[in-house]
Amino acid sequence: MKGYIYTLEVIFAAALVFTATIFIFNLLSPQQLTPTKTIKESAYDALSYIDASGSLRPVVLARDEPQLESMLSRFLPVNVGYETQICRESCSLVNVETNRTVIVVDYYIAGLRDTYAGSKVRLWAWQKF
Amino acid sequence: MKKKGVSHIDYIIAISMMIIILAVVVGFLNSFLSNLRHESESSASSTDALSVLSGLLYERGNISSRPFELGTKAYKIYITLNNTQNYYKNQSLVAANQTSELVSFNYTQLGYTASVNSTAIYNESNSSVNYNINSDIISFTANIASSGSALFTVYFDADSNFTGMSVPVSGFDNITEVFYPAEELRIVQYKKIIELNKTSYSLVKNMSGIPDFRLRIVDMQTNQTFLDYGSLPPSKANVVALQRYVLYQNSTAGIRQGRIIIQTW
Repeated sequence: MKGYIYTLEVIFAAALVFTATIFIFNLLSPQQLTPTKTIKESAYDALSYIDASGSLRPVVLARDEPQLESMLSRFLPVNVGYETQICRESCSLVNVETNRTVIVVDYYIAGLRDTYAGSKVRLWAWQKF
Repeated sequence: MKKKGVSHIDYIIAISMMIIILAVVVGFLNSFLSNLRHESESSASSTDALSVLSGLLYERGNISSRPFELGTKAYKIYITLNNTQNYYKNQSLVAANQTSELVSFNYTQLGYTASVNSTAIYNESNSSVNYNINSDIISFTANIASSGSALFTVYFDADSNFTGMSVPVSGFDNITEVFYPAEELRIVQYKKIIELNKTSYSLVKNMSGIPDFRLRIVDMQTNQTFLDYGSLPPSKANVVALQRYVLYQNSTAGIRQGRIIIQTW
């Protein structure tokens, strides 16, 4: 009878060690590289590139957000969700993901040639999957 | 009769279970260390790739000290022409179709320090416009219908030199053009691309500290590879690839839309 109690003890100890091992190695397992920096750089570069190629300012002046989002879709990775607003002071958060870490990039546009715009493009970006 | 052997079964079971536990722990440890090694390699490669892309458009040194800084500060000027009476130099003329309206400008007079041989001119449809260089005066012609308007974009920088770009142009300067202030932009410079291409791969690896890489510039419109530098990625390795969209200067001073792809491993 005593022997079976020892066996039960060993099974109990084994279960404890097994659980502890899984817990510790899950806790210590290397975290995936944070995509935050990459997303932020991609978002800013995309706006900067569209501006440098001469397409951003006419769109901002026309306040054409769908066109801006269509242009951005060529430059942002497919796993990045985004929402844009062309605004001045307060920008609405409509359609911005609420359950993810969201990165915000502001890109200021003074004008196009002799037309004053005084606007900013606010780009929210997040990792979709 | 006492069966002595039976009383040892519990010990055998206990020892077996401990061996199994040890095997599981060793398995976990091995997998953990292996993942750790792969993650650190990927992390180092990502940092290298990000660092290359972040510094790409700077010009803080030359190729021999900062091999991946391929950028230069360029400028663009918009020029508009309105073929309406108000813009005619001779107000007694009636607005009519201008098939060879001559546009001339001089960077110094506009207030810029520029290399005339770095000029690239585009019309509204983004087609390249031929121009003439006479000393420091740049001229080109435009075809504008009566009451119509035209927009041209002139790109230039201070230290590019593309010779043989000048072609003869002739026309009549009837309309006063509007020149807008220059906008600064950063582009990948052709001469730096050439310098990098001429530099030995092993030297660039030593200078940058990146174990292995491949750097490509691909044209966005034609999808053709403009630069392919470095070695081919191995079939089995942790290869990190990042890309960035940039404007680059081609062999004829043209400003092209491209993407730079860096693969590190």
